[in-house]
Amino acid sequence: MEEVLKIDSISKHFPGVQALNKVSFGLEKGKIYGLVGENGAGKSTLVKILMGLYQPDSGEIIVKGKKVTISDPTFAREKCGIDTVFQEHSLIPQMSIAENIFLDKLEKYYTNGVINYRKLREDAKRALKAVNLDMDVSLPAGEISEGEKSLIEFARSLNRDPDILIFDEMTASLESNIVREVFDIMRDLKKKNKTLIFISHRLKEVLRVCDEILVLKDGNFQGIVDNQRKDTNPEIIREKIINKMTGRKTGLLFPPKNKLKRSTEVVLSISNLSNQYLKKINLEIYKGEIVALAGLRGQGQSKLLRTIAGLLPKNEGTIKLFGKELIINNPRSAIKNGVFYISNQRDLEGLWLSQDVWLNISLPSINKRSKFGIISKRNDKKVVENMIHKLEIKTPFIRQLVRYLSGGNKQKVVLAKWLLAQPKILLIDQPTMGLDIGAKIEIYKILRQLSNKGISTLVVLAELEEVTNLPDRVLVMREGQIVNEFIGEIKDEELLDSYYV
Amino acid sequence: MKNSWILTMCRKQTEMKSNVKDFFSEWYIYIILIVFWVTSCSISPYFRTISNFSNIFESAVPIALIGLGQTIVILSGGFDLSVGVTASLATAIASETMGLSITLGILLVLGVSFVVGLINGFGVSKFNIESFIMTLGMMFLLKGIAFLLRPTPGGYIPESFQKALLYKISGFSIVAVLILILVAVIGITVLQRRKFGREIYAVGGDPNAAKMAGINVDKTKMKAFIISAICAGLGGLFIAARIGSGNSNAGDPYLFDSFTVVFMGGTLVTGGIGGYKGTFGSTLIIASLSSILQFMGITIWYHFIIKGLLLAGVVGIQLYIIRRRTS
Repeated sequence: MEEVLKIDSISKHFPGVQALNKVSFGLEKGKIYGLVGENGAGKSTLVKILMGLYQPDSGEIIVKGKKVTISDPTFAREKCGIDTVFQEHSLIPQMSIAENIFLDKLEKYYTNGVINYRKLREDAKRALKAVNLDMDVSLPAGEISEGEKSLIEFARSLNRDPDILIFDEMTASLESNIVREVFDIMRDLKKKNKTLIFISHRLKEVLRVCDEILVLKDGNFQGIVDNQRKDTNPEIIREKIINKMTGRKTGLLFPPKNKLKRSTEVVLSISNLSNQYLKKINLEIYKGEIVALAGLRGQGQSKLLRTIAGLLPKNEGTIKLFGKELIINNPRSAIKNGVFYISNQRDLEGLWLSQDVWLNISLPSINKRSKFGIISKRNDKKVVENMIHKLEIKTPFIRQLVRYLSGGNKQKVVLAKWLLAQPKILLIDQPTMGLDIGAKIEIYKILRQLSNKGISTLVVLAELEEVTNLPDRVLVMREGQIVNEFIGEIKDEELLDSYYV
Repeated sequence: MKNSWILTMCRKQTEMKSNVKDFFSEWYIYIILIVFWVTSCSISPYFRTISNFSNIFESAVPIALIGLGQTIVILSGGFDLSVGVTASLATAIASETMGLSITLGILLVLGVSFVVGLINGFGVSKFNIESFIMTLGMMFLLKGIAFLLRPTPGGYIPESFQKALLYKISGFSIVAVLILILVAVIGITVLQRRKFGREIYAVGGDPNAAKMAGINVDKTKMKAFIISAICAGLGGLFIAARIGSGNSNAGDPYLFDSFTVVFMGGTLVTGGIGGYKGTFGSTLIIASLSSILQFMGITIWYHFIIKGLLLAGVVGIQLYIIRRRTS
């Protein structure tokens, strides 16, 4: 078979990390490749090098037998026939869908020297048909759903007719029936002798669609796993991949749930809480409990946390902490009462990326370690270092900027800062979002340790596996209401069933 | 894929919202302009004269030109603080060189402006200097050069040059109006319907996404600053024709006006949203405002106060809208 893309000994170094270490492999025409690895394994770096957004420190890229230096995305697309459906969306939010699709070739739509928007829209509509999407292409890209954005980027790439198409976590924002259709289109492309690279955290999807799976770990290429033989049990292949990815035997491991009898002390009690997103929420959380808010995406789980934390106004209802009513109308008053909220947007709402680990952890509780308004630096450092040690935060030194930490360590920094501030209750929105398997396991462990120490958490969880295994109790939300409660052992089917009307 | 009904419903809502939003953001400024003109004409008999409107249009030309450059820079996600001084410098250069040859003077002004824009653009895109700082530095640099060239107002601007730009038919400044129309047509067309204009929006909207989409972000920013500087130079030439001399301070107030007209016209401080249609309408309002304030016998110091409040108010309203939309 003909090799369409060959990567020879590519290395890329960033301050503090070897993102890629002499990675070599070759890809053939007419095949779908999976590219997997934990976060920070180097997948995104590799994609960015292939698109000309980064230059490799050393090594060669050979496209169709010719050595190339990919200088920018336009070169990748036009000279090498490589295109990517990007993970971070590459659509301009203020511009229309149609313009976004043809942004780099608007000059082809000139009539009498000006852009002919009618023609542009017609072509855009046609391009969207290739991904079975029918929508108003004059809408700004910022006003559509994440799933639609992914599909539009897909359509844009298809329109450019690349020989090598990379999908960088494209299916993460898609519903399962749409993922199926995307896979159908991918298989069509394969028949047309295109080469596809499918990057995903969802191994199930990778196994469903890919012929061969490339595995990266910490910037090193771990080898290829063959998935073409239909007689092999997918579980065995899955195991093989996970082995290469982590060196561990199985996937997620959850700490055991609370075996002891539930405490009778109520920490947080909410009655009749309502606002524009929530309808008469009633709940009680006992000491040391992990309570999960589950359900389909966007049924008010996150809004409930944000309302309790004072980020959204409540119209009526009361929030009591240890039986005492709380007046919370902004995040400050929530924090003052020991009600801490951890957003799922770590980088935006959880951290000062451009500050170091020390300050990030220390700041919210810094007053506790100061005398007469003056901070004892030595004491502060000791306390922070202790926390870093306890949560096993991997940072080269305490002054490292948080920006350079991996997702899992960033999340631990967020947890550390609130733990130092002595929480009465933690409100956490999807604590493991975007983390790799190893980091997820560690976060579960920390949450369970806290629970054993008597700190309660109300946590929004999205993944089924987490909902059934992590919490002591599950509250299912639908359209802003709590519609179901599960305690103890939960069956997947029962839980899923309760999500739908 | 049959999209779920929730998606469809969401889409319907946003569609409606953006239709309404578009109508207001594109035309509201002209409604204000007409209301403003009608009221001004009815209160002041001096306002409703041909000579007054000629004066308004003439004073609008430099604002329209400099405002066009500023619109492009702000849309691309930057600021250009050097526009006013570039215009001042242009009057100084013109007053020194037009005596030899008018063409030479014009070419020199355009050449110097080009270099100013090039340096601004280079600093901002290649060295990642905040445009605010880069152009602030440039502003003082040019101020010094302008005063070296023309320490006191004076010099020579040929009468033929002045007459050509201020040509009147039965008292009406027809050339100024033609220039205004030309600037408006070019500004709106380039920003709305040319590849370059759309790239400006893309870069100001999300530079990373623009880069991934294959746009040369650095080059686009560079072009924005070059155009801005050239617009300022052209504005300076018109100012020179009006005052009939060189003056190293004459262009300075236009920096402030350029911000006012851009923001009043609905272009957002954050870049990527807005356009020249609004800037142009606001230009006519600002030019008329000075005139009516004068006729109402309000001293010049109050003009500053009123304009200052106007700018602060307009930006305040914008930020309020942005905050509401994002929350």
